[in-house]
Amino acid sequence: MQVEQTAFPGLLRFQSKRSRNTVMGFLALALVFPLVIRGDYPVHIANFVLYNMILAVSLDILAGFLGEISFGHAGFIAIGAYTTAILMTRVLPDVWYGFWVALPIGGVLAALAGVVVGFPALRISGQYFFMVTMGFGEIIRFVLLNASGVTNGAMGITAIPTPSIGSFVFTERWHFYYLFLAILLLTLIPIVFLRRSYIGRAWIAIREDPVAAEAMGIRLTTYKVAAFAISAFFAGIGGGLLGIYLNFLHPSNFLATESILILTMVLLGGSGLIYGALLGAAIMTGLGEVLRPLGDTRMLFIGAMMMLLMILRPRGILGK
Amino acid sequence: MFWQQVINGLTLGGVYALVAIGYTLVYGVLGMINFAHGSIYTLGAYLAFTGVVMLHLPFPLAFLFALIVTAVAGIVVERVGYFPLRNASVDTQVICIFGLSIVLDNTIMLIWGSPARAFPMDLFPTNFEVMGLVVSPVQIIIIAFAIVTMGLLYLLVFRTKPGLAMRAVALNPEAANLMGINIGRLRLETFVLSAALAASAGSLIGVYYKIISYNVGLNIVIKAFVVSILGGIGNIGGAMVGGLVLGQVEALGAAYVSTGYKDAFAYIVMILVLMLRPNGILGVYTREKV
Repeated sequence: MQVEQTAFPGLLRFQSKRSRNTVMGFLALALVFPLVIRGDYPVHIANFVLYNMILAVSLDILAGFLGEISFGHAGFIAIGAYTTAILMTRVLPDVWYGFWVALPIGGVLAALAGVVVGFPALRISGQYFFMVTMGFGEIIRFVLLNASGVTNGAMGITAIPTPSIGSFVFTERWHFYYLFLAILLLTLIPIVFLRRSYIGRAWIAIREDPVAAEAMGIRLTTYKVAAFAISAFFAGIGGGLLGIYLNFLHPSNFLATESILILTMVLLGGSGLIYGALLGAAIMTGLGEVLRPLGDTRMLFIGAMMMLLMILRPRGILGK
Repeated sequence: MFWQQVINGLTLGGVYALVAIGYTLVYGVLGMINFAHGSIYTLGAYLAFTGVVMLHLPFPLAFLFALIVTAVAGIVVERVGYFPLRNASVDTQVICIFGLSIVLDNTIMLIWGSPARAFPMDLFPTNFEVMGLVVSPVQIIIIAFAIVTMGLLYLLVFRTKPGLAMRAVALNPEAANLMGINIGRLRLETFVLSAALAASAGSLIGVYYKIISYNVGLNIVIKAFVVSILGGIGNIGGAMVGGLVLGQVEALGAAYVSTGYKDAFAYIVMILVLMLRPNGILGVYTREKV
């Protein structure tokens, strides 16, 4: 494999006119959506679609590019969510820029956790890796539940303020829609960028054959740990959005099941494709809403869908 | 206080060993991570509950009822969730089996309801005191059952023909197949055996704590995994030792460190083992090295 030494190939270069038109078309649709579709409920669902898209795309770096199926994404999301919420309620409660300072800090702390999880991932694989990542996510949840002095434990964090820009306060659902959309784009652009750079190609090489990749001069440690840190960073940013939107956080928002659902989104659409993760997030979120009238039976259908999907189309809807 | 916790840990440890042996057998013979093991454990507990509370059976009969029905359910589960994916990649298998465990957990919830269910308090004679320690009859039953079952399993795996077949398949499925072992049937038999072991553990823990809920499955799978790696994956003797170690860690940890973190100790043990002794505390060779 020829390794290109340019770190930043053209980001806005599209593979074909058709792919450019598709991307621009979806972007235009996303921009006008709350203007055309009125009413709180559809916009509320759309907000969750965007939120899940951020999380699914961030997981795609690990599950898709690097080929490491992580079961602990909820841990990174929880770190971002709790850091943002705690900073906003305790440290910067009365200033308008509280959210804008807290959110990146949440991302960075999640990224540090990503480095911590990334190192053991170098030595272990298969079921050991699933269990270690799941164990990490659960340990985070136990800490959130038990370190009540900081996290308020099982009471959860309440009255998380809404973000604002100067005197403009995000109050309506569609305000949040555009905030989430902006952050999704700020997540997507660097990830597409990375995927097209030599870093992304190195990840793919490691996924395909770690030994050959190493022989080609790719440092496994650096690239794997970097993938974990970047994936965790965006998961933390995504998590930071949950608290300000719901005004409430609880450790049970971050169960291991949440990690599995996000992983299912990535695999449902097709892993490693980015747009696969976006499609998967839209379908899973929509399915959750469509099945809501079924109440408790909902999870039964989601579980059955996961099974059918893996038996019939293991590479996802868009996967080859 | 200390010896009291050791007895509690021994009880927990016996149950963990039963769960882990089933988990490790399925991993060895089917080569799959049995994420649904905890759901089967839960099913066993609820069936024992049905036997005792709804069918008014005496506990030994309810226990047998739970074992048999779970074993039958195990046949269905293996054919639906495991068999179609025998040649798929690990990621595919894991997600499918995880979906299966969600289906099982929620089916249990639909049948028995989501609030926790309680066993009657007067199912067993009252606790008694031995040398200043409070011992319940259930604890004695659990420890005795675990020891006898482990002994029988040891004989099954190391002294009988089906056991030889299991070990052969775990070592090399293709060669075992060439030697005339019906792998499909052996996988099914192993899975059913593992399901019955999980059900026995589930019903014993159910009557020990006297309360059961539908969503403990994942926690149990993780404990089974931790116990398996403590002893070295695929190692039955190791799973016994590992179960006892984890039981003691949890009981003593809950007593002397913090009850809030009781379920987190398993993860901490797991991470320590994987870092320090990836082949398990017994240090034996395993097929899949970490």
